[in-house]
Amino acid sequence: MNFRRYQHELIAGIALLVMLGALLFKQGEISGKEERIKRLQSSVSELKEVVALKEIWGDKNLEKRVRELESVVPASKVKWNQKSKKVTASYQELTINELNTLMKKVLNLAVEMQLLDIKKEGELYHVELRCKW
Amino acid sequence: MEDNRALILVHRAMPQVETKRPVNVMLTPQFYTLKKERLPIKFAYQAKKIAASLFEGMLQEGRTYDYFVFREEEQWVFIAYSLEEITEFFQSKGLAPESLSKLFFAQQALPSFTEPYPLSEKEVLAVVDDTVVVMPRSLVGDEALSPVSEIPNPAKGIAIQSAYASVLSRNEALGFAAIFLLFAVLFIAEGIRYGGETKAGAEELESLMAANPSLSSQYTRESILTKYRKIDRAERKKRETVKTLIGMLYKDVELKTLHIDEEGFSAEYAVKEANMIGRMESEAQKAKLTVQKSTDGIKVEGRL
Repeated sequence: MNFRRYQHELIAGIALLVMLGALLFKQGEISGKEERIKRLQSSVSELKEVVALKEIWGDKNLEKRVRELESVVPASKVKWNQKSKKVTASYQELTINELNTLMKKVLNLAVEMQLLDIKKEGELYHVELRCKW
Repeated sequence: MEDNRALILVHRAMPQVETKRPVNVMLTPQFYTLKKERLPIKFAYQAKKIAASLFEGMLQEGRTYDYFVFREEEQWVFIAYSLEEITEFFQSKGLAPESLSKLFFAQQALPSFTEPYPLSEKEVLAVVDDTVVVMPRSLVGDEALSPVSEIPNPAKGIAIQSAYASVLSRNEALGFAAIFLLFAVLFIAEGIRYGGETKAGAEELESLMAANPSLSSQYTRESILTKYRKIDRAERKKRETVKTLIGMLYKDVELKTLHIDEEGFSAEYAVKEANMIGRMESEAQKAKLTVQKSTDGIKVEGRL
């Protein structure tokens, strides 16, 4: 094979190969970029989710906020029993307004509700609540 | 069709040539190696196939040779030539490959050289044993020389441009190469730009990591996610259920009991207006709750 005979084609051919190589590099970067972006987005959203979940369910001030459930109704209507991070509370003879206030507080607290039991007797309500955090 | 192009006899001592129109060239034996053989071969293409083997060991190494074959009476004439060497010589004499039409060999015009044909002051072309050779002019003497006349173009020749094989001229090749390289540079630049565009995402991730160094370990993150995702899903479901059950308290409807634990839930309503029961039932069914009629109203229940 006499390369000198085909030197013109060789010059153009090598330049064409360089161009194709550059095109492949660009395509690789584009698809690589999409993958990198997906990976980054997934890492960022995962991290954000972890931070958010930790802020909600691992809140260090949660105990203080749980204590508010004891004071949300008159002390005579509550039997409060707290052991470490577990609370059992028994509310007696709550009016509808007291019940509403209590429910609002409970539903907005990031605690694991193990039991919620509401019974109406006459015009008043009895509530059993067991939760942990 | 007869080829009427001018024929230039090419030899080492020839002067520079200037030509604007394509010309034919005839090579003197200075540019080829010749061998004659009597072979039981009928066609030229068959002879050409064995040409290379006939010249084994006779040709200069390091060059590429092509072969030309033609029949001379009962014998086959094999000619080996280096197109590379010939082209280089042509260029040194001002003959560009693209200005050349056909290439012939002096042996093809044997009858024209039966009388010594003057090439230069010192050399002539002559025929010895039916072979055209270059010999010193002093050997034949000036009186034996034939007058310089036009040599007719032989019938069969080599088309130089196709033999030279270049489809592209130098300028075309350089033009194409420049365009291809320009595109290559553009593609590389674009590729690098695409590669750098993920910086923003990476910076966001880094800043989040910096703000929460305790979450830098993948294991820690996964363990937190596993623990809290489960709690989050279950607790959200409980709260949504309570909201749905409370949302069914319309006018003349009272909540008698509501029970929710880890497994499931139930609620009993006292309904004073009978026509409210239908509405509540459809509401409960929409929320995919099980509905049961009780003595003074309805009871709904479900699993978490």
